[in-house]
Amino acid sequence: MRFKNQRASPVRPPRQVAAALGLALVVATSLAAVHEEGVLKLASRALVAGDSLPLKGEKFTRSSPLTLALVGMAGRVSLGTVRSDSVGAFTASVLVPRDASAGSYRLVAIAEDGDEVASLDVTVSAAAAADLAPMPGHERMEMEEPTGEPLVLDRARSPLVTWSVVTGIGLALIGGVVLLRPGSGGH
Amino acid sequence: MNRKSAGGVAERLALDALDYPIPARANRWDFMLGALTLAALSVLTLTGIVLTQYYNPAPLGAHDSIRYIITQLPFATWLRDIHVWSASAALILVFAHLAAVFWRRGFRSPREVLWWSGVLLLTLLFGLAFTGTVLRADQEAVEAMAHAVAGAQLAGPAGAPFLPGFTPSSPILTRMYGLHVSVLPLALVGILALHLWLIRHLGVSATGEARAAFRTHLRPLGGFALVLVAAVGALSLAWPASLLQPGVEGFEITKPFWPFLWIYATENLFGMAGMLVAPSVLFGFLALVPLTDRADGILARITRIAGIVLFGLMIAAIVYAALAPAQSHLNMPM
Repeated sequence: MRFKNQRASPVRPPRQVAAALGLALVVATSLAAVHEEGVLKLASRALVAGDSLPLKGEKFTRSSPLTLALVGMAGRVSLGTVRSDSVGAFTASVLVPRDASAGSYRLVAIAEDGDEVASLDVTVSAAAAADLAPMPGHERMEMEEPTGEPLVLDRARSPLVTWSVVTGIGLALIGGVVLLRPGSGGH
Repeated sequence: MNRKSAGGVAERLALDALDYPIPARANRWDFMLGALTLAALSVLTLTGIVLTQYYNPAPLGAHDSIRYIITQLPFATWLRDIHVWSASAALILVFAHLAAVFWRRGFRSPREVLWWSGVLLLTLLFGLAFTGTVLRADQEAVEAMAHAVAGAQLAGPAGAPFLPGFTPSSPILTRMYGLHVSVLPLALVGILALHLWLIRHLGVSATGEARAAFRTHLRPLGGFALVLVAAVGALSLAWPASLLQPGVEGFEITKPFWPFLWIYATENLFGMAGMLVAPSVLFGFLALVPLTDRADGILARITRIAGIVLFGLMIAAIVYAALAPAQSHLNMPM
């Protein structure tokens, strides 16, 4: 609304943009009342229908109920309810329903208000597939504490590749120096 | 190839079109930083195409597939190292390019849109570096993803596609992979096309009357590009890219890829709000530069000083974050 004697002020883009940025920050900060994010730890992320696995939870809201479920394309499979203790942790045994469809799922923990507060990507295979050997690496136990240390891996080496790479680097360097040599160009 | 047939090829490929005049000063190295960024992006594209043949973007297969590349594929693992080093090179070059253009006020009329397209390209490069980090599915990647999810929660409905529960049919890692290999590169190509179009038609912001044919620019540019490729290749051999242990959600014990350390430093100081404040300040400032520094005057001087201070602060923040002990921010108050 503009009053009679009010004069149109010239557009001041810098101020407007700065105000918009400030407003965005205020709005974002006001929306920041997010749940404390919990941590779920499964012994293995490759689940088998019909099997039960130990599940640990940490960093949840203290003494509060949590609904556990598998969420996948086939829908939501309820795994029951647990209650965090006085430090926000719980230990439970997860029974994967025998009739759960094979596929990729997220194991989710849902707080009392319906918000998802933790999740893990998992796969569920049919009971008959349990005898198959897991993919390399998938058999790892995930109950361990995380580490930021780099993996010590035996890197693949091939003399042919190494010499090709070194030759390529040398040729690129020589080519670059030749092109950069004063007087070699047309300028 | 004799001179006659070379002339025939040049005619058929319309290479004479490369003889348009440019300022002779543009043949200096500091006017080639943008083109060298493009060279680094080309290396990233080529190595990335090879890596997509071996990478598995499923949450439970991603880490294993990178481990497979490192331990079983001698050429692909070297290409992965080059990919990682080229990403660093591209970000260093683009920042150097930005600083050089800022210093010579190459954003002034009529080049405002050229500057803004450059800022957009910088944003997209950060997006590519971020999604690339996440794809490793190691501890650093899981922590980066947790930051993205926290940011998405703050963004409300606009952030929904970046939440794990957006759809049960595609895990968030797979969607990040889609961003990394298709959405962001396509956007980059589009904005880059605009950027190059504007450079071609508005010209570079070099002073001086002397002119040279653009073709003469290509020779030193090719030379620098080859030296860049050699340097990146040598660094990849000397210091191969690492892979951390498979990520465990809910912890923050690593530091991010170095281009994000300035944001990490502000998180150290201000909690998770730093994740919003630092990029908002930087990109907000960069967006305002052509508006506040239109002509010589007090506002222009303030813009220049603010730019120098911000750039210095950013470098100082990266050094500080690199030296400071790792700190958890995910459950810090906003």
